[in-house]
Amino acid sequence: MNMKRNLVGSLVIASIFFAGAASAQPSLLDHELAGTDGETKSLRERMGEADYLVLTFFSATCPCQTLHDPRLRALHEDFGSSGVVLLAVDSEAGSSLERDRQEAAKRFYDFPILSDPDAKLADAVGARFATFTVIVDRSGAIRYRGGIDPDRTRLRGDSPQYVREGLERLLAGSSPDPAETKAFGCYLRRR
Amino acid sequence: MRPHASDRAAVAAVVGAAALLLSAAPPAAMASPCCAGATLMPGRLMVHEEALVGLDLKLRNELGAFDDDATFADSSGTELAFEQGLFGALRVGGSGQLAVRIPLLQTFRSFSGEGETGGGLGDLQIEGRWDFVDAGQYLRLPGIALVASAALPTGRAPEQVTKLLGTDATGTGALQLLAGLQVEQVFDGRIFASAIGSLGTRAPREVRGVEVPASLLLGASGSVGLLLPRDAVLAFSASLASEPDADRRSLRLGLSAGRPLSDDWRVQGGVFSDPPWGGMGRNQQASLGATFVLIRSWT
Repeated sequence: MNMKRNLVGSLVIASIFFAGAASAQPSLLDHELAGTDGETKSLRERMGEADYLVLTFFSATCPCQTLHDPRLRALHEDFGSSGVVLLAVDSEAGSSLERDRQEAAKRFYDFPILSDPDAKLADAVGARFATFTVIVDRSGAIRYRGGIDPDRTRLRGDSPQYVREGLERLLAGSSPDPAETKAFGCYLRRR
Repeated sequence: MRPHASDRAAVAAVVGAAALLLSAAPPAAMASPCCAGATLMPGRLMVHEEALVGLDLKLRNELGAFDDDATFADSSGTELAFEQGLFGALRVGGSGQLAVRIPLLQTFRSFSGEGETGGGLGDLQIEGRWDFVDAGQYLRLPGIALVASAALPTGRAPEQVTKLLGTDATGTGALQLLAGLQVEQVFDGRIFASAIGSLGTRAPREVRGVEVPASLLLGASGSVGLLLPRDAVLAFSASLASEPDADRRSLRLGLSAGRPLSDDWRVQGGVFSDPPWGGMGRNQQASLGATFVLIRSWT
């Protein structure tokens, strides 16, 4: 009888401990990063009142990245006023905010590039390749992860636009389909 | 015949120097295009690819041959060889690749006014590789892969020819096994370098009742390339192959280029030559040739 009581007690204590640990676990949105806009803020602060946050992982030398610049600019322009914040993230070893500033200007980005020098954010979302993109909701949950589209060397007019269509579905109250795809950019180089 | 220690030393020196160069190179601060190595190696999958099939064409003209003393002599006749290969590769277990190539050969040879054409199925090739680290994945650590290949004696061995000038010889007549290590790196997102060192054996076989023992095969190759816009690559390569037991050695230089036509199709082409100068080979033919490869891939 005593043994049973001890076991129940242990289970209760363990469940309280794990529940506490889970609630103490930082959200994806708590990552604080410096950006080319000169601000150091958490993703939650950058998100403000927006419903969705789009994080796209950036590489300054990847041809696939450069190829997708027009589509990134269009995403920012088309969804910026619809409750969506788009941010680029540079998680590559050896990157610097100064170089990212130059890249952002050269590529006519109207959105900042955030510096993730230890690739903590990249690790948190499983980003390994440039142009890998996630759509995150206000709770910090990832609703879509993968490529911007399936294009690698040429932009095709008829290829599915995963991020664009995912955002449209989310804003219409449903879920992205597919919710996960491959990103075809270069490796995000690690130390 | 007596193995030449200098052959082994030369191969070891090339591999060692290339590996050292790649691993000790200064860190590049930029990302790398993922796929330079695969753009140049016909049967190799790019990092995102799951499978590919391809067709390769090779035209080769014999320039002459090196003798026992590594002296080169011009060819006294004409030999033109045309080779077509069908190949396919499949991703296995994430970092592994398995490739198969089926070659078809046609040879035209003329000597003292006599011309002859022959050909047929060549030696079936099976290749595997396992990428422990991909090139461009880390700032300092180069791409590291274990490579292995087997050539099965499905072609007609030289001793089995039926034609006068031997144009129907399409294979070596023996099983060949090779294993090697490849290191490769991309510097500054613009320059690509790769080196492979390999060790293998040619299995023993019987030629007209005479036992030919197994022999050691040594190989080393290196390539340096420029990464160009639109994922194109231009590269210079050098390959050294040695069979010490047969006192055979060859050096091949090549210039090749590759580029994607679309996300699913890519082409490669190049020219190669075994330099026809004394000391560049031993007991080996020297050739000049060109290659063209067309590949369809799936991600």
